[in-house]
Parts: sequence; structure tokens; C-alpha cells
Amino acid sequence: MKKVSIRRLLALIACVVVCLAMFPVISVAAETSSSNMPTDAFADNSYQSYLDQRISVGFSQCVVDIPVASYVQAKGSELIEDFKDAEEPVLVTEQDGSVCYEVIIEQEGLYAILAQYFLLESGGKIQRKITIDGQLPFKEAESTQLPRVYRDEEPLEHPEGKNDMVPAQVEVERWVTGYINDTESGNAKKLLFHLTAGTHHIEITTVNQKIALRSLSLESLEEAVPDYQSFLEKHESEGAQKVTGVLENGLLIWQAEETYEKSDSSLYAINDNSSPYNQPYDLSKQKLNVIGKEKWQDPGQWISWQITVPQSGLYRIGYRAKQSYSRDIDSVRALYVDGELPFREAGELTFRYSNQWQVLLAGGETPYWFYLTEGQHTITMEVADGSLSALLRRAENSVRQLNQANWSLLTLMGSEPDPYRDYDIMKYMPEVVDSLAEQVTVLQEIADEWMQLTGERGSNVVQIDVLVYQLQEMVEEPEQIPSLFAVFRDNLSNFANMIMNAYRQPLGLDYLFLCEEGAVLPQANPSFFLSLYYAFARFLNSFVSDYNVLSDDTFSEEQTQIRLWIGNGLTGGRDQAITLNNLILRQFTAKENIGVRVEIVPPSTILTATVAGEGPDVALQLNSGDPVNYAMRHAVVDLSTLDGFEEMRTQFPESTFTGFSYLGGIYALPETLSFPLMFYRKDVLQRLGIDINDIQTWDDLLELLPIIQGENMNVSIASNFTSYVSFLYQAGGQLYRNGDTESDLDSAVSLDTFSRMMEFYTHYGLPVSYSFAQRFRTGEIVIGIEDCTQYNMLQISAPEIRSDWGIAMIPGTRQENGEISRMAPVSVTGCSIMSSSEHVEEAWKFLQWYAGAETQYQYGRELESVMGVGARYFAANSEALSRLPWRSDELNILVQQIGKTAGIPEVPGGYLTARNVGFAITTVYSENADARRTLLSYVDSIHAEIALKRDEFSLD
Amino acid sequence: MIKQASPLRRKLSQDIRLFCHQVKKHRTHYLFMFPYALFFLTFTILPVIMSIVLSFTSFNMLEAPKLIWFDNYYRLFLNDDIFITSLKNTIVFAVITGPVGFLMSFFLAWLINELTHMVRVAFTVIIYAPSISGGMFIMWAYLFSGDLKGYVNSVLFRLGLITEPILFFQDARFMVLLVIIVVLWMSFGTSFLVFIAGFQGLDRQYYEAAAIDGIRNRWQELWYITLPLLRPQLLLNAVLSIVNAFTIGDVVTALCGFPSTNYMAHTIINHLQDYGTVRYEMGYASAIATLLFVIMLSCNLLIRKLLKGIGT
Repeated sequence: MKKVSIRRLLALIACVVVCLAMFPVISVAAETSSSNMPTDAFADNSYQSYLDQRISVGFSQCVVDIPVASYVQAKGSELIEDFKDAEEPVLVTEQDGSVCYEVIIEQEGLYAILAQYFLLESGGKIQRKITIDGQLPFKEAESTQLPRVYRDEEPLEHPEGKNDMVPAQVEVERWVTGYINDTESGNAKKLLFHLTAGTHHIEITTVNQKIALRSLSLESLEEAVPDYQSFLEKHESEGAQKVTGVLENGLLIWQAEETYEKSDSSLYAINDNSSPYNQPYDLSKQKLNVIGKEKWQDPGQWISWQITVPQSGLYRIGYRAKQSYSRDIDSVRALYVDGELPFREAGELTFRYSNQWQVLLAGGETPYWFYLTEGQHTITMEVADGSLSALLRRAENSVRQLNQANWSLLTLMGSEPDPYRDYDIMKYMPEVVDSLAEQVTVLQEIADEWMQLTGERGSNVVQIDVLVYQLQEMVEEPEQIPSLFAVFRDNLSNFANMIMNAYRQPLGLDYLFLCEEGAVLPQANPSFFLSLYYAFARFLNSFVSDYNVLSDDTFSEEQTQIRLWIGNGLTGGRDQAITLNNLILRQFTAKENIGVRVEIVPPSTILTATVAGEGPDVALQLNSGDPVNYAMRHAVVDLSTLDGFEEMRTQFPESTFTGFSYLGGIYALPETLSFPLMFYRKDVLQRLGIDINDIQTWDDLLELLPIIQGENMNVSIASNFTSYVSFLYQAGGQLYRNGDTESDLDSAVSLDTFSRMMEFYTHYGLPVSYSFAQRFRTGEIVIGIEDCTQYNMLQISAPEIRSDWGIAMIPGTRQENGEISRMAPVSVTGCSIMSSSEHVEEAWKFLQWYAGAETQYQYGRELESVMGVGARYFAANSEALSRLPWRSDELNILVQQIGKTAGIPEVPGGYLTARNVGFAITTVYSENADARRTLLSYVDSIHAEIALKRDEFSLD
Repeated sequence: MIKQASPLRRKLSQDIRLFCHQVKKHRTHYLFMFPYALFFLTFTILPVIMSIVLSFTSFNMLEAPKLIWFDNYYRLFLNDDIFITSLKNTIVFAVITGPVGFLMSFFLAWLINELTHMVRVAFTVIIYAPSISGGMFIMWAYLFSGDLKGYVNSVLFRLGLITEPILFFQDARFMVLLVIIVVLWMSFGTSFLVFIAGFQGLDRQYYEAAAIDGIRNRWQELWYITLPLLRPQLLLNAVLSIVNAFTIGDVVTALCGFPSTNYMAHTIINHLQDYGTVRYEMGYASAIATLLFVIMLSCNLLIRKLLKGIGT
């Protein structure tokens, strides 16, 4: 009996010991993660939470004027007298300059800042940093914006039998009045700042773009707008009549694509062939006949038109429109007459989903009457906050809460939790489960209200339901969280995306019209047989029209014509070709009297076409190796022998010519650059207490790695040839030796650097294969040394973290003299003249024009206006690059990094170098092979290939 | 004195006369054949001949070809390790995907043919779908992505089998096997469909007659009746699978990159592309093409011989 109890006791002790032994591990793990993460890490200082906390303060009734000349402190600013028609002096602030005003507030409240200004620079966003009493009120105040106004440079024309040309989009040269806003990160059209009664210092710093500031004021409440009933009664009592018998057929139609002004340069006329009743319409040529669609979807974007009204009175307003984008989100527009909302209902014109063009009257079933006096008027339509906006803001709040929960869980479990381990979430993080439970109710409410508002249970609502269902599971059985975690994160990011997209309200417009009472509305769509006829006619036309040749019919016989090929690969495409063609016609052909025939052709066919005698005169967007490859075969012209080359050469960084040089000649002019940059998450690094400026060398990065990886996050270095060359150049190595006749990869420095680079993957666990943008967005990768094109990628695919990441120069290597080398290789696309060309002189004239600063800048800017922020053009031309609308701190980094680049020489047979280094990287990683020996084993074949090629071209 | 034409010449002119006569007699046939013959000549026969001629030269596309006789072939066989690798790979792919795919689709068709109509249709759709959806093999790249978040890597990691993601399409250990699976998956459909159609067209009478004549089991039925009757389909499929197997190349590029790591999955077609489009050595590329042509031609003849033996 006693024995048994002793045995039991022993067993019990053993159990306890085992349990205790395990316990510290878990608790230490939990402690370290929580100690590194201050509890207020997520006290987010976004505008939304700023406003949520202060909305109860309410608006004040007063307007506070701030005379621009009354500043108390100014840096890099000057007052200019007699600017344009301004009576008072205006204020111009240089980039990074600032002005500080002292304002006396009598009534506490939320204030918006209204400015009147004149644009002095064209291009980028007008960004200003606002501090109040020396502090940033919220993080978005770091780069707030002021609106810009654009117009078509030339009125849109529809020449018979030709493709229409998109007019250039230019800024208006007039005074613009606008609120300080943050539409860039999807926030309000006017930012509200909380000011208590008393004296405050408001400081405005120029981040980007110069303006001449005429007046500043703090305003609060909007004027009350009457409702439709009282609007109509007022005008009818003043004797306004419903107009009849004045307009032809009772209608006054104007084309929506022929705009007066617009808020965005991307709101230009576009081509739509979806209905033959689109005006104008052509069976084979591109007619720019509509406007808007997906380019006109973000709240605050507006388009205005100028019309002449023949007689004062009441009119109806109608339009031919199409909203074929979202079933359960209505598009809403506000209609202003001469900049004012005539009545409240005009601010909520709703467009329901339809896959057909529709002719509608403002007001729908019971159309509204608008009062217009005789003469010129401006009609403006603006994307309004949709009917869902209140709901969406609540959903956004929910996303923030869930994101916090996600982060807390991430620090406990890592991004790939072990489903068999008990993380004991209820013990360490009960508050997380509580907050999940709370969100279940919140989200359910949102889903219900959404359905009530739109009357449909569309894909968006279903997405909320999925998330709710999953959250319920997680709340009911917290021990299931590890196995549900991955799916939860996917659902959460889908949900966040969906919310962002739900703000968008695209709408296409074909034409608008004024309409008298009793007028017959135009027919919206042709009959079935007519549609069939048009479709068939278009189909037949497609056999005779060559869609790859742009502008073939615009030249006169006397002009010399050069043929230009533009690729359709990654860097090129139809949009690029059209943009370039427009630029050429407007600026080159008109001036030089040289016709340019732009053709879209895959770049791989250039050589074969040249053999067949069908090649172009000029080829654009050649990959970095191509020009030299063609040069070895005498297919391209040595540009350095042409007049004015030296002058062109100075416009580009010297390193860009390395890859285009062969035997002393230079065979292309650079177009775009590609080089590595360091991308980092500002918000996460701040939380981890890491300053990006501390990372000067790779060793610095290695030192910080434990802190980052300890939080289950990681760093990425692109596992490619470019990264290796960065390491190599920084260590003072080279790719080829003896005048580029042999590979230098078998030298000690090459092998050492290779081994050093591979340690990042084999020893330190950096990922080799991954989607950078995706992981950077979720915060799993917080620092990435990646190609600069990821900048554009992130702009498009991760807009919600736009203000949370930055760029820096890549880490460097400390030299013996103590300096740090931050060299990186640059690869360049270029443009060449083919030697088979009979018009070398004209072609060279074209290249000089094309690669010059002015054209490259305009081309880059127009590309961005056509294709959006994701099309930022990394121009090789230094001046063009710096004139593109970068933020000044970003431009600074770019210029510094470009200054520290070296080209990759192109030698005969050199393609094996990149290929074999790639092989070596995967082999070392996959087979755990010794890095030095592996690289060395590939060098012989590079030597042999170079020797073979040198022999083929008789170079020795 | 009139010189007598030699007998040979007379024979020749007789032949020509006969030929002209034939053409005249069957002119409608020749007329119908003419458009196709013209295209076949210009786009198939002529390029093949040109390629054979070019294979004896050194040609960089822009300058005139230089005659170097058999140098390209010497280099190909004696001095090009990568060619030997690619030849080996091509043969491995061909042997496995050709006959194995052929046999598998035949037996599958034979089995499925026994099922009821609806089930048969369902299976046919499932098996044929990969062949019509051209670029769908890209889904394999996602499935076996080298990212830790790729499907297979993720599953293996959760099961605790790996700690680091495997770069399936860059890793020599997996590359070839995966490409073979993908090619099999893709090529399966067409031959399967042809066989199913062939089975459908068989006349039941033969089986009844054979049963009376003393066929004892299904295997004998298959060997003595089904296969001989299916000979046209067998021939078609065999030729198709050989051609398919020897022209594997784009799949490798799409999955493993160009070129695949250490040329482990390099095929003759990849080698051809490398020399034709990267190194611009057209003479050498032509030599590779010519060789591939010869190999395929002889395989074709061999298959004809083999299939003649069926059912005897």
C-alpha cells in the first residue's frame, strides 16, 4: 500500500517537473514577444482615429482668415509683389521650406484649411506637411495635398477616317481654391484639424511642388443647401418658367469627352466601342467618344463642361451613362452648376448597375428642374461619397481592430503556426479573443445594413459573411486558432481590399443634355439587328485595318519617314506606343518635318526582320544586352561617331553606358534604369525600435536580424545575379578581367563575396522564392533589398500602406579605409539606330529629341497620367528623372543610389555569366553545397564560351 | 544523218510524257491538291532543306553563311556536354511520356469504355480538359511553387517534413520528375479521346463471331480483335506522342525557367532555342534541328514496323 503511494507520488513529481520544465519555455517566449512590443504599439495615430476621438467637439461657426504675409517664422519662403492679378503679395515656398503662422481661435472646434493658390510647377502632387504647435496631429499630416486642376491642352478633335489623338493634359493657369486634403490615402476631401480656443502655431512645410499662395483661411461649417422642394418654389415664385420650344428637338446635347476642366490628368477622353450609338463612332478607327469609367471612381474626382444656355428658365439635365462595374454598390455623383450645389438632392444622383448604356434624367422617375440663366455656365459632376460611405467607415474601423488582433496573434504564433502546439491563447491573450468576439457582432450588423441599402446580397456582402463565420469558429474554440490562422489572414486581407474597393464608384459618360418638358429622349441603344450589323461590319474591318501601326496616314508625301519599333514586352505596350505617338506628332514631326511611323512589334523579331530587309530605322526599349549583341553583328550604328553625341552623353549617368559599349563604340542611348533599392516598413521598424539610418552595411543588417526574426518577421534580398553583383562591386571585385577577355569569377574576391551572400540564405534563413509585394504588405518582410521597379508594384498592389513604407540606399560594405561602399549594378534599356537604315541622320535627330530631358520628362509624366501611379517612369535621363513628381526625400535617395551605380559590361559570350551565377545560387541553396566550390565549378564554361565567341568575331 | 537519241534519254522523255499525260488526265485532282502542295512545299519542305544546308555553315543571321562542312556536327557530338544532357533528357522524356502515356491512355480508354454512357462522358471531359486549356499547366507552377507559401511546400511544412521550402522547379532532384508528370497530364487527353472514339466505332459482330470461333477470354479478345481493328488509331497516337515527346520545350521553359538549373531539364528544343535566339549561332542551331529531324523520322519508321506486328 505504501509502495503504491510512493510510486504515485514519484509519478506526480515527475509529471510536475516535466510540466514545469516546459512552462518556462512557453512563458519566456510569450514574455519576450510582449516585452518588445509596448502595449501602445497599436495606438494608431491615423487621421481616422484622430477624428473619431474628436468628432464630439463639433464644428464652429466662424471663419478665421490668415493673411499670407503675416507669418511669424519662415524658411525658404519669399513674398512676391504683383504676381499676376493679385493685389496683395503672394507667398512662394521652396521645396523643404516652411512658414509658420500664429492664429487666434475664439471658438474651439474642427477646422479645415482652405487655400487659394496658383500652380508654379506642373507634374506631381502638391504635398504639404502640417504641424500644429510643433506637433503632427496625425500621421497623414506628414504629406497632405492640395487639389490640382487640369484641362485639355487643345480641344478634342474627331478627324474623319483617322484615329483620334488624346489631347495633352495640362494644368490650368488660374487661381485655384481648395481644401487641404488627403485623398491620396483614401481619406477625406477636407482634413479637419482640432483647434482649442486660444493661440496656436500652424506650420506648413513644402514637401513637393511650388505654388504661389494668395490666401489662407480656417473654415468649419459648410453653407446649408436648400432641398429641392424649396429650391423649386423659390425659383417659380421668382417667375422662372419651364422652357419649351427653344432647343432643337427639345434637347441641347454636349459630348462628355469634350471637357472644360477636370480634377485629374487621367480623366481624358477614351475609346469605347461597346455600343454603336456612342458618339462619335467609327468602324475601324479609334474614336475617343466617352469619358470616365474606371478612371473616374474615387470620391472627389470631378469633370466640368461649359455650355451656353439660349434662354433663362428651368431645364432638366440628362446623360447617357453606363455603370457596369458593381452590382451591389451604386455609383453616386454630385452635380454642380457654376461650382455650387443647386439643391441637396443634386448631390446624390445615383447610378444603378446595368450592363447597357442608359439615357437617364437627373432625378430618375421624377426628374429635377434646374434653373439656368441665359449665357455661359459650367456644369460639374463629382464623385460623391456613396450611400455606403458611413457603413464603410465602420467596416474600416473593424479592419483596424482585426489587424491588431492579427498582429498580436502573429507575435505569439508566427506566420506559420504549428497546429499541434497549444499556444494557450486564452491565457496569454484573452483580450484578443474578446475583441474578435466583439467584431463578430459589428460585422454582422454591417452585413445586414449593407443588404438593406442595396437590396442585393452581392459578392461583397458574402465576403463579410465568410469572415463572420470564421471569426465565430475562432471565438468558440480558441484552441483552433492556430490551424485557422492562415485562412483568417487571407480572409482579413481580402476583406480590407474589398472595403477599399467599395469606395470606388466608376461611371462612364457618353454625352449630357439639357432637356425641355415633353422632349423625346434620345434612344440609348440600337435594336438587335442594328447591333448585329455593326458588330459584323467591325469584324470585317478587322481584316483590313492594321492595329499595330499607329498614325500611318498622317504624313505628307514630301516628308522623310523613319520607321520606329516599340516593343510589347514588360516595359513597352500599346499604351506606351500611343502616348509616344501623340508626343511625336505634337512636338517632333511638327517641328522637324520628319514623319515617324510607330509600329508595335515584339523585340525578338528585330534581328530576323533586319536580315529580311524589313527592319526598322530606330528600335526602342531594347534590353540591356541587345545593343551590344547587335553591334557584334554590325547591325546597329555606333552613336559615338555622330555629331552631338558628347552633348547627349552628359545628360545620363556615366554608368548607364557601360552596357552599351563595345570595342570603343557606343551603340544605344539609355532610356530607363533598373537598380536595387532598400524598401522598408516605417511603421514596423518604429515599433521594433530600429532606425533605418542605422543600417549602413550588411553587417548592420545582420546585427538587427535577430530582433526582426525574433518577431517572426524577416528581411529579403532578391536571390539573383543583381544582388550578387552588388556584393561583388562593393568588395571591389569585377566580373571580367584582362580587358573583358576572361571571367573574373574565379578570383578570391569573387568567391568570397559569393559565399558571403549565400550565407544570408543558408545560415540566416532569408527567403529565396517569395512574392515581395505580398509579404511586404502583410509585414512579414519588413526590409527588402529589391529592384527599384517594386516601387511601382507597391503603389498599385499595396495602396493601403502607402504612407507606411520608404526607400533607402542598399546596405554597403566597409572598405579598408573605413569608408562604406554602397555600389549597385544598373541595368538599362536603350534605343538604337539600325545600320540598315537609309535615314541615319533623321533617326539620330529623332533619338536626340527622344532621349533628351524634355521629351523623357513629358513622356514619363503622360504615361503616369494615362496608366496611373503604377507607371512611374525610371528615366535614365538625369534631369528628366528629377523633374518627375517624386517626393523630395525619395528623389534624394534615388539620386544618391544612381550616383553609386556601375554598369554591367556586355562581352561576347557574357550571357553565360548571369546564367551560371543563377545556377550556382540555386545549387548552393538546394543541395547545401559549398558556395566557393560551386561557383568555381561554373567558371570554366564561362571562359570557354567567351573564348569561343571571341574566336567567332575574330577579336584576338 | 540524224543522231539517235540514247535509250536512257528516250526513257526519260517517255516518262515525262507519261507524267504529263497523267496530270492531264487527273487534272482536277491535281488542281485540288495544288494549294496545299504549294504551302507544304514552301513552309515545310523548303525550310527543312534550308536547315540541312545551313547546318554545314557558320551563320550569325546578319552576315553571309560560311561553309564549314561537318564542324557543327563534330562540335555537337564531341564537344558539347549540354547537348548530350539535352539529348539524354529528351530521350528520357520521350521514352517515358511517349510509350507510357500511350499505354496508359489506351488501357484507361479500354477500361472506361466498359462504363455506362454518362460516366464515360464525365471521365472523358475530366481527362481531356487539360489538353484544350493550353496554358493551364501553369497551375503546376503554383502548386509546386518554391515559396514557403506554395501549396505543396506549405503542406509539407505543416506536416513537419521540411523546415526550409523546396525550390521544386529549380532543384535537380525534382525538376525532371515534375516535368514528366506535367507532360503526361497534358498529353493524355488527345490520345485518350482518339481511343475512346475508336472503341465506339468497333462493330460488335466481330466479337460475336470470335466467341463462336473459340476466343476464351478478354485478353485474347483484346489482342486478336480489338487491337488489330484499332490499328489506325494506334498509329496516329503513337506518331502524335513521339512528336509531342520530342518537342517538349516550352513546358520546361515555363516551369523551370530558361535554361533550367544546370540544364537538368534541358531538352533538344531548349538547346535549339538557346543557340538560335540567345547565341545567334544559326548554323549550329540548324545542325541540332537536323539531328532532331532525323531522330524523329527514324522513330516514326520504327513505330510503323512495331505496329505491323500487332495481332499476329
